[in-house]
Amino acid sequence: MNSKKITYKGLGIVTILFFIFSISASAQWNIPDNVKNKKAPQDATYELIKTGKSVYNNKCSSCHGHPGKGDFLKLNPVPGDLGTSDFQNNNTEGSVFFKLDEGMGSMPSFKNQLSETDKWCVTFYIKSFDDNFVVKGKKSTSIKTNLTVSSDNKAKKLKAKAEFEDKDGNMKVLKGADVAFFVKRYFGNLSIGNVKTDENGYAEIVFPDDIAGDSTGNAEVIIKFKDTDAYGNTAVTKTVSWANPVHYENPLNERHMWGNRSSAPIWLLITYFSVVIGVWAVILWVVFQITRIKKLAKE
Amino acid sequence: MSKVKNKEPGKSLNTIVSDLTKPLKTHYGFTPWILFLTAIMLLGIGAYIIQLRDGLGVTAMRDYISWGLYISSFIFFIATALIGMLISAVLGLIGIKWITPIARIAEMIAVGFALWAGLVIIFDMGRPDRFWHLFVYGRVQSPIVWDVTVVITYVAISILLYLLPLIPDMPFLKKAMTDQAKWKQKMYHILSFGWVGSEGQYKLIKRLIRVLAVLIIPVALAIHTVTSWLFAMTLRVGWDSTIFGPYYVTGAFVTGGAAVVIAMFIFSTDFRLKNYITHFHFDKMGRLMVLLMLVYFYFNINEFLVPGYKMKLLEKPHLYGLFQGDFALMFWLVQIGGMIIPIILLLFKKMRKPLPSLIIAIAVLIGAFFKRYIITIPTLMHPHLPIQNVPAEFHTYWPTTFEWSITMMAIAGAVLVVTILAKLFPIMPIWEIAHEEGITNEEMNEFTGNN
Ligand code: HEC
Repeated sequence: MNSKKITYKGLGIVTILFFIFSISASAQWNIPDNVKNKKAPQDATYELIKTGKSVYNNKCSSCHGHPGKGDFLKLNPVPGDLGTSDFQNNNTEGSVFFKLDEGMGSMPSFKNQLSETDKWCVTFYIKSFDDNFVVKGKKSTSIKTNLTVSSDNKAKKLKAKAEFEDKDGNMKVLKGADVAFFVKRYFGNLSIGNVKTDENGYAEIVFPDDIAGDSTGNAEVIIKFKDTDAYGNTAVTKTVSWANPVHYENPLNERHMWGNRSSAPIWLLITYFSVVIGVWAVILWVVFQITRIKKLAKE
Repeated sequence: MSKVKNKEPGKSLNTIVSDLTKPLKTHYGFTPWILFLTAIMLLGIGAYIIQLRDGLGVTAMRDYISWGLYISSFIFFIATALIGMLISAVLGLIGIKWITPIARIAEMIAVGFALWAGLVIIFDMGRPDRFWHLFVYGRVQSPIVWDVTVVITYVAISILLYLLPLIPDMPFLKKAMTDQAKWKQKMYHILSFGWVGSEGQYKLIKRLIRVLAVLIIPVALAIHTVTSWLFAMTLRVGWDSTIFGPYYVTGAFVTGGAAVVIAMFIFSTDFRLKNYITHFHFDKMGRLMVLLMLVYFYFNINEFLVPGYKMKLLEKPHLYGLFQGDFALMFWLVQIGGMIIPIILLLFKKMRKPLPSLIIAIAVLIGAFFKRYIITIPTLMHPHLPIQNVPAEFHTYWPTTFEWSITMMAIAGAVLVVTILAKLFPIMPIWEIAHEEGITNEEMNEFTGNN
């Protein structure tokens, strides 16, 4: 009897301890040093902060509330107010970026949800609540680069040439840089290739033959550096006519129940008007017959 | 040769004419009644002027519950108007004789309520000045366009179906009403269209009535089916039903039947026509009502048991609202008090006597009015996309004084039309009653001096 009691007690204590532990010892942000000092590829400008604000209001404010207002959701752990000086002093640009990029627990990761630029814009917006944050005049870490693209219609090949500006301001061939090729789609860009530039600075791909284009087979290709941190946002768009033509039917051009006035289904028009005309013809006939009553007086 | 089993057989033409024209001359209790209706109407007109000035904001209708008392009254009016078709067309065509003294009453109700149904729709419009847009810009695909088309058509046929059987009565009126105002005599003269009671004229008028009686059946079915489609053609809980057409039509017969019973009672006592609208007629109408209500009851079972058994996720809040929620009291009062109890009561012969019939009919009619309310409003409270970020008042609906006043004006208006018609023309076809009493055309022509 006694030993059983003790076992139960012991089990109970262990469970309670386990609970307390699991509540209090939530995970900690583990931020590598090099990330902490990481700088955005661009200077923070008021323009970018504005973009960041709208992204923040869309994606973050539902949990975090408005920076500095303390109106965040009461989750466990709390999302926290990102505008406090306590948060700002302990989080560099790099850490904020890392946290929203990686996420943790109920803080979702935005790695694949937001574009690189948007992530930086949100970071700028959050950091703009730091009094020491410099909005303009920051040095860009990336070098000045240039991309030129030529196309080979017969082989359906695209060839990009990468160059960069050296210290003396001369354009030099850029070797071994990853060049990414995308086709522009309705929602986002479709990757069609990733090629390193050769010693002459060239990266070449063959356009895939299963890409849908517009009605004439045109498609817009976007070529840019994969490592935007190192080479910047240099990008070239080129329209090629190698895609498969796709004809989109506009349903509004057909006759439908839900179409507009001029595209009513024929069967409906016939039914409606023949019934209306038929019924009213009878009504008018009756009205006309009433005038005959007088004539029939003699019969 | 089925002769009507009248309590007092063998009325002379003289008695018939004087019995039926006397109510047109004696205005006993007429003035207070007209004043009463006019007062209600003036109140409504005042409310409508304010609604025109300030917009539909004076009603309780908002973004979500955007159909309210007006639209439910509209269905009620259309429903009431449908009885004209059932009694004078369907029963008339299959040769039921006992409807002769009440057919015109049904037709008067049809004209009055169909006319006002069209107006009630306009009361629901924020910009009634743009009503004509419907004809110029309307889409043939839209049930609203169909509805306006059939309402207008039904009003036209109903007026003709009221007018045509009136023509052979005109010579009697010309003769009996010589002591009345000049304009009335002139009107009787014009409306006789030269009727002298010749063989050919009788043949023609009977033919025309027959044609219209046949025509009005599909049109009447169409008017109420299309009215139900205004609801059923939308993807909403409670409206998304394939039986809405017949459900509405049978419901309409119940409504109109109750209205006819009430009118029968008033006319037989107030117009002193108890020899014409007898216990026999009340008994027949009572039986007809039982039949109609049983069919309607059957449709109600289908309309509520089938979705109620499945309880689809989206329909659940709506159905619970009706069965045990906010609308439960109204729902069960309407279903039990306005349908089930009347059916049971009317099974007993005693209950089909005039006074009990009247009381039951009033309960049925009130039930019918609120049934339309229950069909319209609760559905709008349960849209498929949740109601979000709107003021609290947008979630609920209870008609404002403006809406009640304007609706009462419409009811008073329809009753006023019936009253005026009943005061200008006999409420029963003199010639048909005479025919049933075995009086020949020659005798009638002799009486009117058209020989
Ligand atoms: C689903 C709710 C939710 C959303 C949406 C959300 N967060 Fe969080 N966030 C949290 C929670 C919860 C935490 C705390 C995580 C922890 O401490 O375990 C957090 C923590 C953070 C932190 C670290 C706070 C600190 O004190 O170190 C940052 C920075 C952050 N979020 C930024 C963002 C940004 C930027 C967005 C929008 C792009 C965003 N969050 C969207 C819930 C959310």
